[in-house]
Amino acid sequence: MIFSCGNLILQAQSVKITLDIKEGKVEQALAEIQKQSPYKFMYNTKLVNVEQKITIKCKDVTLNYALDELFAGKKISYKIVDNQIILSPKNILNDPENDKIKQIIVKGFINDISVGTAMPGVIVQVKGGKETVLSDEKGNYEITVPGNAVLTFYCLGMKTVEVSVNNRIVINVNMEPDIVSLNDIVVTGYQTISKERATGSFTIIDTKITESKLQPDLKKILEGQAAGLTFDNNGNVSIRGTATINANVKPLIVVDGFQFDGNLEDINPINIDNITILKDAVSTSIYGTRAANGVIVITTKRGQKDAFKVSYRGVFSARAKTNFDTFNFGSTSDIIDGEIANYDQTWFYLGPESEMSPVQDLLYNNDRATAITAIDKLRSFDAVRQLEKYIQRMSITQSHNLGISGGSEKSQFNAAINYVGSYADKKAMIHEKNEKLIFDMKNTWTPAKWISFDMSANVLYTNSQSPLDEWSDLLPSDEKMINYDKMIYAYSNLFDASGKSQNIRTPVPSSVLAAFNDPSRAANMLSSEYNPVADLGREMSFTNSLNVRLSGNFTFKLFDGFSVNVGGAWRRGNTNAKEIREKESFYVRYRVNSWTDINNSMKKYLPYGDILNEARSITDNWTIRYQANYNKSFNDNKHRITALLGGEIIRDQINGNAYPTRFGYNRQAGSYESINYLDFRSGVYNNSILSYTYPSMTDGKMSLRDNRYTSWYGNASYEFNSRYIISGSARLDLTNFFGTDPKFRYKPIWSAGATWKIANEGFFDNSTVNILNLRASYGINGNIALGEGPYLILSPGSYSAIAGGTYYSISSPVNDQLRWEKTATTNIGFDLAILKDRFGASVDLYNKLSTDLLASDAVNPTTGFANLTKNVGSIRNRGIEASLRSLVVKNNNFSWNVNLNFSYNNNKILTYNKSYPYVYDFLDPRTYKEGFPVGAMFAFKSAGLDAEGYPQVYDRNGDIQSGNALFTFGDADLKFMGNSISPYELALTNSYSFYNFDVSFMFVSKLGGKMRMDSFTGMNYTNRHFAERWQNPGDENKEGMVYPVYDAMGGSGWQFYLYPYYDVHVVSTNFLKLRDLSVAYNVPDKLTKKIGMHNTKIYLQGRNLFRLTAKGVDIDPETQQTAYDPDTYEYYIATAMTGRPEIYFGLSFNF
Amino acid sequence: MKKITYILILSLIISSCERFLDVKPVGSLIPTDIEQFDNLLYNSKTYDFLFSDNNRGSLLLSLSDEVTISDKVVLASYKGVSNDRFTPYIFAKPYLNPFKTDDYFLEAAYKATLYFNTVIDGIKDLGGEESTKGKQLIAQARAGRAWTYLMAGITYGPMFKKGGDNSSKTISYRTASSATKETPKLSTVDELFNLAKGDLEYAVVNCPSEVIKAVRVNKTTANAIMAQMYMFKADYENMFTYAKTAWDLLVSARGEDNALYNYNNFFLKPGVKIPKVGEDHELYDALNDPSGDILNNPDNKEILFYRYCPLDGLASKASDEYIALFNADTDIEGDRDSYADLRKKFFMLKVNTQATEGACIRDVRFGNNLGDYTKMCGTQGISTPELLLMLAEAAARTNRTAVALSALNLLRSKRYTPAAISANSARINALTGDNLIHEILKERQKELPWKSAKRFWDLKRYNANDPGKPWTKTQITRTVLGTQYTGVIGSDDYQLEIVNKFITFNPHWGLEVYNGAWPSIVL
Repeated sequence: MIFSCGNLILQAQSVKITLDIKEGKVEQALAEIQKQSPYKFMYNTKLVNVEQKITIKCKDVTLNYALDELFAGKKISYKIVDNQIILSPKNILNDPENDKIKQIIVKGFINDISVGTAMPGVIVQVKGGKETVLSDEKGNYEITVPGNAVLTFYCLGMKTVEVSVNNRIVINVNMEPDIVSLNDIVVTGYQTISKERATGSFTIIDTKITESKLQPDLKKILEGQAAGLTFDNNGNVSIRGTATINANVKPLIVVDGFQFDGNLEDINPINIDNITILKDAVSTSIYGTRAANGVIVITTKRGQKDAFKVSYRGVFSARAKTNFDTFNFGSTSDIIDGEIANYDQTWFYLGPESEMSPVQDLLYNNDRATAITAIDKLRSFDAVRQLEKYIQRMSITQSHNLGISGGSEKSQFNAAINYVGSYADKKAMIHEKNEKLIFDMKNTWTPAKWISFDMSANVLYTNSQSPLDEWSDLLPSDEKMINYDKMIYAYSNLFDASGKSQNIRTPVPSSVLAAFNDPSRAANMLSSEYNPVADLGREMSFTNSLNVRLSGNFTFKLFDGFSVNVGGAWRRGNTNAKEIREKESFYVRYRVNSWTDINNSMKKYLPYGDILNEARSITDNWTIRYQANYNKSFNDNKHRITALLGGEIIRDQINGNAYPTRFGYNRQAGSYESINYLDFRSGVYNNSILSYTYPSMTDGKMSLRDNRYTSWYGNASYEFNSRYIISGSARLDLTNFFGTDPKFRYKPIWSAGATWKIANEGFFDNSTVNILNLRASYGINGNIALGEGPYLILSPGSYSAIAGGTYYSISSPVNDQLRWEKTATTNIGFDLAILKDRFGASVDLYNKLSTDLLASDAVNPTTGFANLTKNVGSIRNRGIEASLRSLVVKNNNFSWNVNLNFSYNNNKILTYNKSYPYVYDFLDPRTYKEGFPVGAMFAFKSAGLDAEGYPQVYDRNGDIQSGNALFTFGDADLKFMGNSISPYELALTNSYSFYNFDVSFMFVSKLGGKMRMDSFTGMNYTNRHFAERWQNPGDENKEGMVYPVYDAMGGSGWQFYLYPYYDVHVVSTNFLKLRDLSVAYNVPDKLTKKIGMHNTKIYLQGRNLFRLTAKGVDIDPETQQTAYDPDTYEYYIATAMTGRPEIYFGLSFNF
Repeated sequence: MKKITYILILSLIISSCERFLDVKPVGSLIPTDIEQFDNLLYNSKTYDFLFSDNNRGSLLLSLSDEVTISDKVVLASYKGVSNDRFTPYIFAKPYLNPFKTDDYFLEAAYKATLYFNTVIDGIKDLGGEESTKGKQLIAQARAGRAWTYLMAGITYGPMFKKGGDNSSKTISYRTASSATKETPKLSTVDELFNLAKGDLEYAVVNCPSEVIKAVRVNKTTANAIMAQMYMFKADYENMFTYAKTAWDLLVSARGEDNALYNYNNFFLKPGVKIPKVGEDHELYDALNDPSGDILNNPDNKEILFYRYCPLDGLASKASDEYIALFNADTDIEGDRDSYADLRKKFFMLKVNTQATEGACIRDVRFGNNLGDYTKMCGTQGISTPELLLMLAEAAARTNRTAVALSALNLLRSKRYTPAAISANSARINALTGDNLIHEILKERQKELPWKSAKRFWDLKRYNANDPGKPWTKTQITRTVLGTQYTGVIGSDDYQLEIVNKFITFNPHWGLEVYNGAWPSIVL
């Protein structure tokens, strides 16, 4: 269908038409007339057959003449209304039967509910009847109809409304944007405009596609749906690359017009009407300083008039267990060989016998042959496989969504309740449970035609529990040998033959052992039995949160085209997080034993009971907004003006309180025993206790925030003759924590854009092209970094036993020259639709230059600072985004849609002057380096292994150096390997409809990135490549030999610590995944209507079923991470749980 | 009417904005009273990591005559290796990697003085410099600043030469806390000592009498630092005055018994830990003192002014010359109970340093409180025995022999077995002049923490102001893999260089960026 609306009458007589079509179709003639006149045809393809053959020839005739000629004998009648020509089948319009029923005059008012303004030019028609009128400039209409008629209200871009007259004489109608069917509406949060009238770069996500995905998490659903919207390995969202160094990198999320501080996961994905991604400056500048990273605008569903509807969707899903091969361990036997080699090289460094590992113990206390015989018996155990088998769970998730909507003329409502419950979802471990409940409610009232009121409420409740341990805490590694807490070795036998967890050997430090060895004291000691698997459930974290969000908006229509909104939103959240270590856990017993008096074993300095760490946090933020809107067309729609002007006040508060650790806690009673925290910190017991192993303990911490903003904004757009649009936008943001210098305080943010609708030009003579719009925009956005300011800011630390007081640090010196970061974006794009929208494309080219970035700038070290934050950084993002869509096949029983989203981002840090003290600082891809992209990956240039199996490296001059020389290396000695963030992204979705089946599958691909592979690097003998290491002279010459000699002492100096960062370990992250495959069956209504069900749909969906990676890469690039351990100052290569296949089963229906 | 109402509401909302924004951000501590600056002086930057590297060791140890490295260790650890703890051992200038963007030594000093300067400026900005509390805090900050700059000055520049030319450049005595203020030119040695004197004179008058812990400066400490400053200036009369004042204040506050540990009261707890193979058993035994004090704590009673003491230097062992200091003719090697010097009995132990070296003798007494090998907390600041020996030295150098002997004997009574004391008392009491000074300085060397910069500073001051004396050295020679390397103490062999980063940011210092190879000698 093609609809159009307008509100002024055109002079049909002045138009001259020339047609010359031989053996063509009616359709062709319509296209010709449209081209030659400002008129648009409006017809329903099901009722009007425009495929009919015609032959017509006329020259410079009037429009009426041409139309009469054209439709002669074609059973098509026409009516000219404004600049529209409405076509209908002749026989229905002239049905004399309708005249027999009593005619009444119906009047009413039509309101655009999204902006609250009157709607002129809406086509009001009797369904299947002959009367058609248009609403006037004030949105009023009047029509004479049979008393039992059904009225339909049409307007482009709005949902068609049907109302039964039922002999009523006043029928007011609210119309709302038609998001689902047309995808032609851009919702910016401040206004809703048709895509045709937008100049910026937007992506509107088809909610049909998002609804067809069964994941309960909106973030996962959005993947691949918009070019330029990217998700990294940690699930962080970004739009068009990283444009900041220190400031916020998250896109702004807006829900129902107001900023939303929660996460995408907190939004019910099934209760969404529209998702618009705002990407360039012209679309985002209205959000000012918070929009440099793009904006995701989400509109939740509204109620429908005259249609009380109940809908349900339930989904069950399961995710396969992780294959522990992905953790890259060697076999138990290889690991034991490693431990023996380790013993041989370091026995003189071993601690006391009581702290040795079982293998060390055997070697230390026996002759070699006896020891090896005993050790060989351990080779058959495999703790890694045992953990894989027993501690993992298949992740099971169920989600239920119930939606109710309905309403009357004056009031409509929509409510949805969404529950998601899952086991073993995040950590894939036993004892894990996550629950989420989202309740949404939205009401719209229009008590009078000059006023309407929207109100929505949203409640989010989450509850989760999981073991405190991560996989990395449980899995054996060479580092864990002397870790008293997790003494699991590859050969530990964690389970008996029946699969029941059992105790494993507990090394006890010699100081505590003394008490166990003394029978009189031993009786007062707690058991040292250790069952790490049972302990998983004894050391747990519990988190729950409740967030409530209320928003409301009044719209007053003051006079023609002018309206005022006043509204606001308030969100308050409460989070409570607890970590409980039960008294039965080894953790607690071990510490209480350690904190036993050296002379009196009855005296325990640490109370025996659960250990509780608890933190509570309240977030509270509100927005108040006032806005005036103006919408008007002049001179036969030749001039259209849309403008708005408004202001906002935002307050964002956090009040967090982490309580001091409670000892001797009793969950049932809520009681605990107090200890003297100061004494603990001061170490006054250290000399009296058996061993000082501190429990995880905090003195408590408060966190407060009160950020305030006031803003003024406005935008305006002008469209001339449906061909040219220009638009502009400006915003001024002020805040309380930043830029007291007035010179920097009042910095407006602005943008300008233009669109040229080439297909509407008279000279454009191509009937196959429906839309060809050229867009260009330029504008400035801002971004902020919290935590710096015009004051000397100190940060309180904790009690220092050495200094004898609570120390403060200088966290930020007086810095009154700071200002907002600026991002200037130039965007050029075009939209194309051809063959009646069978093929569409949108392509955008952007250049995003972020300057004045708050960045650490190296300063004179005599100031006591190495770096200071200044507005000195700059980053450039350039890229291409393309969205192609095609309806390849469309007939009654089969359709095939293809959607392709492609994006390329080229990112470069242009200015950044931070001094990094160590060469290995550059090895972290999060290090920013001038001249390179964000995420740049550097590596040492390997020069192979030397004759003793140690790694060698090329320096900047190309000379071969020993690995020890790395200490003197600088960044000039490093090789740039590429970007750890893939610049190319691709998502290809194919959807098929075949009779009652819908099938779709999506491939996603990221290309052009680099990552580091795991490797045996000289010391980590648990790695799978340990057995392939250098062992004999000459091994260094073997083809592809990269695994060095084993040296438990790490060679000397830096050799092995930095070997993971050699170029030989860098590989491509390229991958292609079949992200999902869905099959849905639409159950025919005739089968279900007896039980009152409609639109019943059964879904089956699989995720992550198939993966292709670059040659030689056997790990999942999406989970490989280079991590930095702040405790040990070491970088290490970590492999997280690989994305596992998931299967979903769903059912949805309406009542 | 309706419209007017709306307009009124809007104007009200807009006009109230300025007040709405006029709120300091919460969650950040913006100082509003002088008490808040008090906490800045507890920050570890003021006392930790000074004159040490980021691994808690110090290259200055490599310039002392108390360590030695065997060729075995050199071959295993330093051959073909660039290491700034090794470059000074073979006097291969520049010692610090000039291209590195951080220099732990000078940078740590300026980080410390940033805190002191912030306290001084912050209190002045709040108008609190005339209040008692304000004066106390400023005095503590100025004392901290003076000590930091003095030690940095004599590390990076030459030692003050009494009656000599002290116009050589050393470091810049920056007193501004604001990062936007320019850094002054380099001070001469003369200027450095004068500026420090100014700070210390204020501190001596205004410091509080008591502090909680020894990282903060009280009146006693301020006097002790002043005495130390005069010691480096070879102004022994003033050194005596301030050392005596400090000692008297200390004794009157604590009593003599609480000023020093009597090692005769120390004992080892038997069999608590099992030693590693080849090590002396005592290493793993807990050392206790019946008073219950925690020895390995910066709060132990011998710490007067706590400044971090490095944990380690090179993978080195004590030099024969250093070990010999602790020997007595009556010692029966291997029988610890026979050792005259209790410091040898408890602390000169065999410790595994490196696989290649095996167990060798190290002084395990001092370090910081983190290491397994340390028994007592040491300080690069000033300890009570050092103060006592400063008093003895100043008295001996100003011919107050009785005072000097009394101080020396007081220390000896705490450090030797009664038998050794009585056997030697006649000899000690007969000492005069240089012999007495030499005896005091030997005790001083044994009391100062082995792994610290203390010996490095002393070598420089003896060289500058005690030419020709028996305790003075002019150069140190090492033999490494058959090659001899000699460092001349009075030359820049005994000064650290300012690294390129500082030079680039401070062109007005007139120093030239180093562009040569580093290290200049690679074995």
